[in-house]
Amino acid sequence: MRLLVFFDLPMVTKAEKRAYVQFRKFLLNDGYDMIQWSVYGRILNGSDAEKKHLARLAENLPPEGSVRAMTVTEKQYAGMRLLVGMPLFQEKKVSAAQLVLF
Amino acid sequence: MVWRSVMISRPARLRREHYSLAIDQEETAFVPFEDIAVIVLNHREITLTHPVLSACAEYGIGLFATGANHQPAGVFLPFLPHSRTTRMMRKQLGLGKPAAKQAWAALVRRKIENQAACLKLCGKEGMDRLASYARRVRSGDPDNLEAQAAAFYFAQLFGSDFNRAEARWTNAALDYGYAVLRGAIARGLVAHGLHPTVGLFHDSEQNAFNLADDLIEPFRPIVDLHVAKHPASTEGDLIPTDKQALVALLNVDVGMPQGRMSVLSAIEYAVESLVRVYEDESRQLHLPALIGLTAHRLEY
Repeated sequence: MRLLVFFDLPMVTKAEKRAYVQFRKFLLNDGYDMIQWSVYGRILNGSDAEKKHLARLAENLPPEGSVRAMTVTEKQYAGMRLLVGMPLFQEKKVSAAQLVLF
Repeated sequence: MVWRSVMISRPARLRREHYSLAIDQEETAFVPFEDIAVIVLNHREITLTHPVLSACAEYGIGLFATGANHQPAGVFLPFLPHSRTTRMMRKQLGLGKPAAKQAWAALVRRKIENQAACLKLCGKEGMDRLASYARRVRSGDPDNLEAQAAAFYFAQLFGSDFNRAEARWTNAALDYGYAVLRGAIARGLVAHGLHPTVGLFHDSEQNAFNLADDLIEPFRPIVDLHVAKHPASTEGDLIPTDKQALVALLNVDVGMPQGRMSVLSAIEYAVESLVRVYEDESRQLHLPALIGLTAHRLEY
């Protein structure tokens, strides 16, 4: 399954920009891929992993702005329609398969 | 919980970025180290940086290197990161003879049962004879039923002219599959603080993986079944798709006392049960039962 994180963060003051950079860095460090600007996703293996990563997300939230998280199954994620644009190389290559080949 | 195997069969540069393995080819892809169980390096033009190696140690990832013959030649294992390494080492060295012999008998029994299941799944004769061998295994296997069963089983499975020592596709495929399993088991042992050198039955001074060679026995028929069901598509050497299929056996479902799970998970559970044997000599080993070659599904 996939954990999707959507966010809008204020970027006016220096502190706000810093909070944004830190939050984005946390996402990348925790294994999320950028699907689009302000939309990040991570593959999870089961509900234990979901709990773990949601807890980590909760610990690293920025103080202001809007952040949403949603878990979808792999089937639902794969059913996402791309109306304009193409899937990312990362999305195509690193799927939920247990064996990934390069 | 680690669950991914990464196999690299084309020229690539591996480096660490954030907490992910970055794989540079025409484009770059990232796989979080946290999710990876094993990485197989299977091309001569792969370079990797020191931070990748240290990340493999840090996250307990087994990193396999293949040799000139494309067989896994070595595995990079973490330097015993477990908190109770010394305690486990003492337990391993101090394990009583009866417990060791009983554990070995359990491994042999399940191996022969799985060999019988393999013959059945291949539609071959002889599973009754193997079942009788399995029933007769005594503590420590003093009658060496393991070898008797193997001699009978390989002849049934691959024909009476089959010889394990001969250089041919079937043997290359078996060796490759066993080597991948062995490395994954060695990785599981180290991750649980056990030393792969100190075995239950295998006791060679020249073998650094005695314990892995004990625990691998009931897992071997998974490789046998795959090789019997997918005979060579080419003469001689293994081709890349053969190797990918053999590595993918780590994700095949097996039956464990806790339910169906992938081979990678079953290794974890089997090693945990082995730790309990060392901790308290009365416990049973939890070993995999061969149920076919269906790949484990993460979601239903």
